[in-house]
Amino acid sequence: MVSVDPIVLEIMRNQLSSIAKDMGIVLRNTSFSPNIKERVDCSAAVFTPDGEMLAQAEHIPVHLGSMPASVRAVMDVFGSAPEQGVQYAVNDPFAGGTHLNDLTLVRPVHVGGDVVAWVGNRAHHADVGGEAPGSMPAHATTVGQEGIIVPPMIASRDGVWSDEFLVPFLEATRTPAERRGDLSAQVGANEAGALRLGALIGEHSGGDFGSIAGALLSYGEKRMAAAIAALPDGASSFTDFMEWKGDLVPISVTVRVSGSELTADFTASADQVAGNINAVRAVTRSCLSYAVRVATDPSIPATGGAHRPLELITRPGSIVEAQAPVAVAAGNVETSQRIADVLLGALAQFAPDRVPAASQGTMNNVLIGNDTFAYYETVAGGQGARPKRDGQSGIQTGMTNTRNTPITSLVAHYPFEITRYRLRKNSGGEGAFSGGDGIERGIRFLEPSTLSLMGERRSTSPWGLAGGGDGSSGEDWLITSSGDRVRLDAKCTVEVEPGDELVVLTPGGGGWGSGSGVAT
Amino acid sequence: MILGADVGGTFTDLVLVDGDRLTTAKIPTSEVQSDAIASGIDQMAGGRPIDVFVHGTTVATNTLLERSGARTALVTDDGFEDVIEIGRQDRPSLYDPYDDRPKPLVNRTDRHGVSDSDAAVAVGEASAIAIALVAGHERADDERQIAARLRELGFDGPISLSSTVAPEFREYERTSTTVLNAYLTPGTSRYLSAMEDTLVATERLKRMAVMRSSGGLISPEAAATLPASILLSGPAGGVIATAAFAGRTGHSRVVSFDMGGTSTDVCRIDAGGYDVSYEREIAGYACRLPSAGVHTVGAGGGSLAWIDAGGSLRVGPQSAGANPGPACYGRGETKATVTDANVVLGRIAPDARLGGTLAIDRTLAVQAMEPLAEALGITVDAAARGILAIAEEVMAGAIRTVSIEQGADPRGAYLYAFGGAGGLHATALARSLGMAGVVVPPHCGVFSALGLLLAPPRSELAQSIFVTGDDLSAAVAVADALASEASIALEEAGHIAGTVRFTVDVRYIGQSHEIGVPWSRDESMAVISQRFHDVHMQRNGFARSEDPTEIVTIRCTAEGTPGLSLDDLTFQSVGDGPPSSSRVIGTRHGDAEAMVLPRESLAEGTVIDGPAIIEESEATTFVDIGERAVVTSDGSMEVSW
Repeated sequence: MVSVDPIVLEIMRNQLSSIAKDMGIVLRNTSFSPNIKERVDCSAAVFTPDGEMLAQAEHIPVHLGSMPASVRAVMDVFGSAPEQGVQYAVNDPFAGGTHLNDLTLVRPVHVGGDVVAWVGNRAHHADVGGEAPGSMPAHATTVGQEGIIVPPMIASRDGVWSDEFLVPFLEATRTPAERRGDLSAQVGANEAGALRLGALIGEHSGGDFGSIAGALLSYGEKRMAAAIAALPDGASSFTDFMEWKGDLVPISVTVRVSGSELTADFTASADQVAGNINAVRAVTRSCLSYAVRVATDPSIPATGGAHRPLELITRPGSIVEAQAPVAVAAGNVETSQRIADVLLGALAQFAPDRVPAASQGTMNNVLIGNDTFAYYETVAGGQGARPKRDGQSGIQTGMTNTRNTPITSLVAHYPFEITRYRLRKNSGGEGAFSGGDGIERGIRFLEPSTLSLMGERRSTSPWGLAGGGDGSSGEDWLITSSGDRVRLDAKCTVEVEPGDELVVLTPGGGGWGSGSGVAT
Repeated sequence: MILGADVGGTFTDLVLVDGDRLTTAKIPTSEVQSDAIASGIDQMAGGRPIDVFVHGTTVATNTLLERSGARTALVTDDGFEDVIEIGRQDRPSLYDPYDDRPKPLVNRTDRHGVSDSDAAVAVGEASAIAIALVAGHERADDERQIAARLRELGFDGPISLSSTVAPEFREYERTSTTVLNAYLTPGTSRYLSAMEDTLVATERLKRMAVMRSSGGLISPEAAATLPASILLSGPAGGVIATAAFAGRTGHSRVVSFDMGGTSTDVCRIDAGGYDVSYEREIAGYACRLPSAGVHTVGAGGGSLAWIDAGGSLRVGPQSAGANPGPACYGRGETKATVTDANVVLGRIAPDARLGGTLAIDRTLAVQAMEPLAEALGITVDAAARGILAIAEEVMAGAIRTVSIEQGADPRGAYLYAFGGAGGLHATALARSLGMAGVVVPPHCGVFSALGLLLAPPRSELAQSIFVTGDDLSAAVAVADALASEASIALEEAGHIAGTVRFTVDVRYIGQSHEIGVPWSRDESMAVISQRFHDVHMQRNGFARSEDPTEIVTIRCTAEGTPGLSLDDLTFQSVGDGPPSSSRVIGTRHGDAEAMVLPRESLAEGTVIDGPAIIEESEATTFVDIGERAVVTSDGSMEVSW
């Protein structure tokens, strides 16, 4: 490889990160839905011409490891010499996506007629059609029930929407005006990124940028290799479970470390199920990138190069490598949390002083809507206790990091009110260091609405480590206007009436170390 | 006679103006901050009392950073006690499970939920109280009633109401701001009254004012009840001074660049005005009070260089700080810093004395650089250049943040450089961003203190109110109430409310990103909407002019007259400082013999062709090969290329 001046490299690394960050800012500031602006359920990144990630804006972990697949899926359909001025859309979980709500737009960056890079961003659309508002119907068994499937296709050309994409997408959703606003923001973010990236690459000649990109990838590879090499060699297995219609569905991993390489083998995990908790391989890949960073060095740049020392083994047709046309909505938002848990459980054997006990292990997805609105939120919970430190309470953990929407903004825009929002005291696992507490959130409905819940850790619990106790499981209650208390299934779609109140209790984190409350 | 004093961690900067005569001093900051200021007054004022003393203070900031504020209780709605801890529920770092959110300033036992505003709340040992109902921005009466009840029950400490401190809709940010304010009130109040009492009692001064984060002045009494509004008191002075100099020179688009030992502050100033930000996090705590749109990065002269596990050269964010400081200070730091790189390249004199006392040792700088050079397989010189290039890229990123990211093109704008190290890096930065030139103003080592004197007294108030459609009567009523309250506040502090301005935060209905646009209360919604579309277009590259808009917050600023105008001062070009000399320095095109000039010897019209170094106490300016500096009539050096 051509050697690149280490100083030029560091400067380029900063500049590419800043371009990804800019794209994220444009996307947030111009989007329409609270989901993107307030909750920041979106990500942005810069890629090589081959679709390897060069830089990312740090938003949502589950997006970032999986976005390169979107670029590759577009290249699979349109070849590696795409047209200038074109933006491509994709959400097909089996061709570059993860679940249908997450729509990715990618755009090639041309200099002198050649593709020199790609930019892309992913945003969670609160509704993309399907059999329940919010597009995560609990009963779905095939992806077609979850909303409109966008295979890699042209979304816009020279700033003009392609009707082939836009018309069916807006027809499918319950909230076309909001979607259109968010789509414009996504296109604008890519244009802003492409403009700056094109100028930056133009300053270097094309070939120079190629070797800089190569050096950046190889830099990420070195950082990851150094982090793995610091772990002891060996193997460790860990199994945990998804909750599915009263059964427990195992996810098993064996992590092997040899020198500066790490293998995560999920072959022993269960088959995919006739439901929506199946994860596509891109999701599993994101989880691996995430867990290794948490267990080793969080500052490793999230480039494609950093993934090279990692080998991921999955079995097609399993719950961690779902095959079409099975439903997948919860694979991205729930199963991903468990995949991260088992990886961290196995990695705790290699890095016992660093890996925390299990965090809440769910995103507690709440989706409410009717013909006039679609609202989506995830509710935070307890962080697992750390070696020598309590876990934090009421905080996002694992594969998501979305914010809440201000209560004062919710009640101004949606037909429901928030009745309580506080920590769920003593829900963190006991131990020398306590797990963080979950959250108690109440929502009272003011209009007939459809409610979908998608949660986990309702019969299982976030595990403690090193002798620490488990965190409390989550609970979901419907308190009807007549005062009845009904325990809801954590994965359900139900009709609710004005005056009904939903109360979600989110899980606490596991404790760390035996004994209790011995602070140091 | 007026005095500005900007108290920093290491030095207290003082600027005294008597008629058209300006004197400056830099004194080590004392344990009791008023001691340094008192001794400064004694040195500079010749026994006469100061008419107005303007204070830029870090008292609130330090109280927060040291977590030494009051034990604070929070009263809110039953069921929402933990909004202050949950925050926006996100975590600071995706991958680092140890990068914790800052601990809430109210512990769990001090959070009290009430279901009616007559409830009896026992606040225990708390010595300050924040009252922040979830919808406090529209429940001022209820918050006042809770406060009245607490008084009846015997609480006599400070009480902050969210409906007074920051009546905006987002409950976490409003609660956080209110809690911050309550937490800071007792300490700030003690500090300011002690300062005022000491200096007034000893007849050193007649009246005192305090710099707000937003760049306006308030009375010490007002600051003591709204201490969350002075958290960024320090950086605002530099912005005000830059705006004044740029206004006089006729530069309509400028960026201020204040580079010190541990951090660098930048701010964009267009046509004399700067953006005021209402969305800040300070030490991780949301604060919704107005502050000058300064962006701070943790890169300064003391930033440490290191090599990471991937073999790449990195600079910062760790810093050698004020103590031990860079390796060349010889106080025990052995790792190389940005300052050491400047010393290795000869841009800082090998025999310089900082603050008149601290001698620099170039050998130590070279020794610190050697391990880096060896690891990278390059020369010590090349390593030093690398450190500067990387540090300059971080600072260029900061300038991009306040320009490109806000839809403003830095090309064609001027960079105003000050602080100890601003002049060393400004031209490289400005060239890399395509800027028009660099201005190094006079008194650049104490520039922020000068800005304190140029700031107007100001009262700023806001109220959230959702207004859609063409009927603005509700908005006008709110605006009138705010204007009257703001003017009264100014008059009570002894000023005349010269101008009253309004801005409205507007957004597309359903969007959750609002933009503040100016408004005069007789303008229609159509005018407001058009202004909003225009700014949206400028910032974000598009607008939806057919879509309906809504007002979400009305803001009012009442302003008096500043104590000093630049026109009151005349620049005396001394032209008789020590003689110039020369030395070999590292330029962008290799080593070259550079002229070395004392700043005080430069008369108006002096032209300096690079490579050259201009030295003054506490600051150095580097003019590279191909650059030319000209001394202007106000004593600034304007560098172009």
